[in-house]
Amino acid sequence: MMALEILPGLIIAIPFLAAAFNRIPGLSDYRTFVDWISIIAAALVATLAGVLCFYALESPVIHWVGGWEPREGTVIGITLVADATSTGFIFITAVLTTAALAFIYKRYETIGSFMHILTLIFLGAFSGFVLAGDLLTMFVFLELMGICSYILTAFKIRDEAPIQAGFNVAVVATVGSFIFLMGSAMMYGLVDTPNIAQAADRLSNLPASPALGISISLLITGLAVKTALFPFHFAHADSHSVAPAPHAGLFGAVLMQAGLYGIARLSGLLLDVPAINIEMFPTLLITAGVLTAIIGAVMSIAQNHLKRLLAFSGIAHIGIAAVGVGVLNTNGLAGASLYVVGHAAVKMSLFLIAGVILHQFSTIFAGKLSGLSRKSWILTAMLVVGALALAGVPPSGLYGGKVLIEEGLKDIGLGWIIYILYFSAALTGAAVIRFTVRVGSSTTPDDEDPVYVHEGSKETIQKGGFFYMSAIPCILLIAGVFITLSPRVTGGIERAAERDFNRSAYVDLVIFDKKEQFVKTATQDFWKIDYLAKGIASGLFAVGSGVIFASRRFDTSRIRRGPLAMLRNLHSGHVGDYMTWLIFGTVVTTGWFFWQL
Amino acid sequence: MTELTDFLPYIVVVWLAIIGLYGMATSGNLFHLIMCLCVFQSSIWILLLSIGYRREATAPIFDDVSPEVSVIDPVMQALSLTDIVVGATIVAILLTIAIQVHKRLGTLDPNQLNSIQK
Amino acid sequence: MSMSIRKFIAAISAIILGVLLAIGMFYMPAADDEIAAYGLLLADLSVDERNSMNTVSGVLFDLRALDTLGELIALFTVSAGMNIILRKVSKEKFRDKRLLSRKSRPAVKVSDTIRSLCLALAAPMAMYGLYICVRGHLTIGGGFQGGVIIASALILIYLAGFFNVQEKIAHNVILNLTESIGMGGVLIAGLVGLFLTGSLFGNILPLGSPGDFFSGGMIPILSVLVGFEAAAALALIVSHLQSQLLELEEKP
Repeated sequence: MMALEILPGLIIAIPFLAAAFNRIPGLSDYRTFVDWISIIAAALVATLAGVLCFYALESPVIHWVGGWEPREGTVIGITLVADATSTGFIFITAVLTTAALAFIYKRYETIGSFMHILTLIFLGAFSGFVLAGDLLTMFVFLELMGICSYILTAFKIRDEAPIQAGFNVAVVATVGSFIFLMGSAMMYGLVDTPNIAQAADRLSNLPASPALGISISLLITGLAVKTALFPFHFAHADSHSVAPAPHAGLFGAVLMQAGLYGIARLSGLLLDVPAINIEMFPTLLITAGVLTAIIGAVMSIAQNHLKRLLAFSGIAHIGIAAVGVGVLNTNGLAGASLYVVGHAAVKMSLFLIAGVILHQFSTIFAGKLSGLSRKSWILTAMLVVGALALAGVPPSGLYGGKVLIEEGLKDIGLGWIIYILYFSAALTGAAVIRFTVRVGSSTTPDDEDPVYVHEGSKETIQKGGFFYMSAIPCILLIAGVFITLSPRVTGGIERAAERDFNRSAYVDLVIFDKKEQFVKTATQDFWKIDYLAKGIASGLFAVGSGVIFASRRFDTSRIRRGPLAMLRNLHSGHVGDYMTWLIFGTVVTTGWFFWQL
Repeated sequence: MTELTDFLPYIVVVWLAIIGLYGMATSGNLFHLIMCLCVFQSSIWILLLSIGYRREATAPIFDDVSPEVSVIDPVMQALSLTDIVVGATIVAILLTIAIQVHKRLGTLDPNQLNSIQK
Repeated sequence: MSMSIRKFIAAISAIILGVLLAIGMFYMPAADDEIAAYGLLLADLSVDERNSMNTVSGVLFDLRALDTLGELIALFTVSAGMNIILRKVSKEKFRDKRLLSRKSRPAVKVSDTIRSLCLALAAPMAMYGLYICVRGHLTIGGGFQGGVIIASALILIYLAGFFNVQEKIAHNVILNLTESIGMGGVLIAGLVGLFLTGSLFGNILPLGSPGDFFSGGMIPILSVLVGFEAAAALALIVSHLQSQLLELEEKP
């Protein structure tokens, strides 16, 4: 079908074109017009990606940029691979971007149309990164996505923390992309092609060599820096806690997950070759994922600043999803996809709720806000539902994802790890419950509560619009909570994961244009009683511990020593510390690959 | 690896990469840190050019040589151009943020920046 | 982490990383002819099927045009980011414009030699940049290089002490419009290719004969558009950094 073939190109071009249009000087005087242009462009991308995803589930679409199709089995041009996972991921991101743009409609301070421009470019760069089947193109769009995130992090220049966090994340994430480029350049030198499918094909005949191990470990490290896995997460946590609320939501919901998508794609295609001992990769990624999940969850419960709380909670959940990718089987990957989808909707809606609270009450510090339950029952209810969904109470997407990840872990004999994941997810839910309880009571707030993050000035320039602004997170929350109930979505994700995991099918598809049919496999039963029990138990744990930790005895300002204080001291906001961690993490990853070669 | 001279550019790459990273980790001034980032970036440019290099080959431009002449890899040349542009944009964005750091927090020493504590 | 711990961990890790990288790179293939077949294939295709004598331009603007789009948008984004990060906040105000003129600002002393040299070079330099842009498909050159040269012509005017003149020639409105047109043009060229040939950045123009000025299909057009965009982006970056220094001051 001709019409489908051009869609990947359109998906990349539309947001950029809208951004270029919004840049016309003088156009920003017509704010409503700019708002609508941006919303329509993002919604159009969402529609096209949805249509493409629907068809790509049956047969993926390959688009060769410039019409340079492979000749005699040799790839020439850049390819865009639109399979169900990539287009579905773009669909989620485009929907969230539309929500963010609708959220900033009229009321947000946008500096002319520049916030719209950056948001649209973020969407376009994301689509480019996810669709690209070419290492060098991946680098370009990875860094472009990063540039948008650095600028948006430093958007609130009146406060001090956004500037510092913007600098930190720009340095750390840039070094991450350049490490990725170093790896892809070495890979290019070894296999003589930048195309991932062709590289995967040629790697299967390549003997093991230290150059190959170092190259792949640099690729994985670069993506892990973008994914905010354990030794690399520090700058990302700062960045997500100070960006404007809708963009912080986008970063927490899809930006880190883009890096994880890269890891999943490369580990499926480039690692599963005779020259590399694939057995050692799950250990590495699962260890990093578990550490990330625990540290993110513990840090999350020790925060008073709502956006910083949500930022650490996002780190914890990306750790859980990384475990799903790390088990390297279909169940794990499907679980990670479902988890990311459910988490994206819930996390975005929680960040938008933070935006509404900031808009309505001018602060998001637990120490300064009081009586939220009296002032607005709807925000309180949404926070509680969001907390339960984060904790993995059925039928949220995070529950379904964890069920699949558990199956994946059982397949490789590491079933016990799922309890750690349930525990950290429950802690992130408890963190939101704790915040809700603390701001809900009408007692006078504690003025001595120390301010850890110098951020929190208003982001909006107009009053009003409370119901409009809370409707958007409400819709997203409902979508995130009920997603596992739809067998169409879960079945589709499982089938897409099956295709992703088949390396020879991907190579055949890209290079030889052979479309392999996948038979529908048995889908997971999400409603077994022990899964339900685990999900509900973690919800109860979240509520209970959240209420307990909300009491004054566990006030964060009283934590002066002990392991928690040490952990907090690691998140120092010092760019040198973050770089030291980065070098350390790179050495560990590279050394691990080298050792196992 | 056939000759030692093949290996020499890679020594430069490794050296620039690790002193750039070490400099970024231990820098006491944000502008100095940005320069360290530039050092790290230049290691990658040299890596790209040494991967694209071929012995006794000329530049991949055929305006005054015949197309039969052996040339070096144009993809790596194009990629290093891409990389230089991306690197320049990153440095520009870091410089502007550093200017704002100096305005808001009154210092360029990362040890004294304290707007994010724990 | 204190500075001594940081230095210790960073030094140890960097040394180990250096050793690992060195071992890895030692096993990279040598600079022989058999390897780099992909690059040579692209060089041949660029000459044979696009009539572009400069194969780097052929790779940048046709064979791997999507990478170029990404890097172009990086420039576009950063110059947009300048408008955001270096905006005036309520604590700051604009200096009196009259203070910026050459006569009333004794702080900027430019010697006659520098001024005359810079002014003499500015116009030829801009022309040279344009030349580099439009001949990117024939010989050494291309959009990015030409754009950088055009932007540095503007910096020469500033070096000569004529900040006002520079601001008039390259006003922010003009630069933003150029950015919009440059990037929009590249995207529309790509989209026209998409609708007519079915693939993004597909070639729709006649190729001409090798070595001719009008040859190479879309390559010269994209090259010129990229040149404008790059020049405008770099000029915007420079002018924003200058205006931080020259125009804004803290309110007393």
